[in-house]
Amino acid sequence: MTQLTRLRSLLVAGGDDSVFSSEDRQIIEAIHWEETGRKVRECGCKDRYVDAVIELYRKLKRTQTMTRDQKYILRPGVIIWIGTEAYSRHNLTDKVAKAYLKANPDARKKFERVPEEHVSPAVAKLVSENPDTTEA
Amino acid sequence: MSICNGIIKQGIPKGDCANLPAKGYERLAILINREDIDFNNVTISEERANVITSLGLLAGKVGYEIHQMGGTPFTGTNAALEDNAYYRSVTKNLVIAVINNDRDVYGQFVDPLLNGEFVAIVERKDKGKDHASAFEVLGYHNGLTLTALDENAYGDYYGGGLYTLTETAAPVSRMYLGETYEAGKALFDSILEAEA
Repeated sequence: MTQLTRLRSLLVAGGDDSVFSSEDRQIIEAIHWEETGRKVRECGCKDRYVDAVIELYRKLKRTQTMTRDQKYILRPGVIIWIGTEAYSRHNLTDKVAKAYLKANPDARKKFERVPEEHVSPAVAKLVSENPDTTEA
Repeated sequence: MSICNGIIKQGIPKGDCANLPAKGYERLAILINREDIDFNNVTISEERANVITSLGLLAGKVGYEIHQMGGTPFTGTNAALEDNAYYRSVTKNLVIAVINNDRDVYGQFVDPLLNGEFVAIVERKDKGKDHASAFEVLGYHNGLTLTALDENAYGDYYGGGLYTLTETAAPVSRMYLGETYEAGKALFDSILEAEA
């Protein structure tokens, strides 16, 4: 997030891709892939990295968190329905995921990343029945 | 289940002006290593046995984009009846053209095709009613394996080649992805755009 804020600050006075160093461009490519799963747009234009930073910044403002900071991530190829809305790993927020898992604890297997508190119901039952058990 | 017992449950409806026929595929498809699929996270529609509603991959795995150029992407892709004595099924072919000579493409894509087993998702131009039949999954039942390799440095594929992946003995003529277009697209994107 710090990196993205820094990259965004380079654009305060406007400008094109020339404001970014080659190292910056590598960072943008890496973050763009991580956050959107897509490569930075390929074209002969001089604002592809600017567009990428703006897109990432907008995403950050919307989701309030970056993928690497997300606590809940769905597996690729899995969507969950909440009412008539479909959520995939790219639009599911931690808040929605937490509420969904609370209501559907068996859906844990659909997630690639969940906090430790979401152990399976069987494990939770086992732990609650044996509170004094200590790890070896 | 009509898939299992050979009993039809619907006729061929009259032409629909809101759903005109179209040939071919869109230019972008996905190829997945079959062993990367988490079958614990694969679900089939309760209403339609030929619709996959979830095609989860194992943690950290990804589907790979297959971009095709030219006027008829994936040209040669087809399906045919497999007329076995005891059980009829379908052979499905997916034809992928590689245009450029690139050592990374040949090392990371073509060479693994030689002995790998795959599942592909293609998007038809004819997306059917409400676009709900847009995405089709090939290799779901038996996997796609390489059955033909055609390279000719002076041929139509320029510095690349033509690669045919085949699924044999598929018990279903077509497997679709997603109950709706929205669901199919979300699944397609989530596999394509998964973190590497």
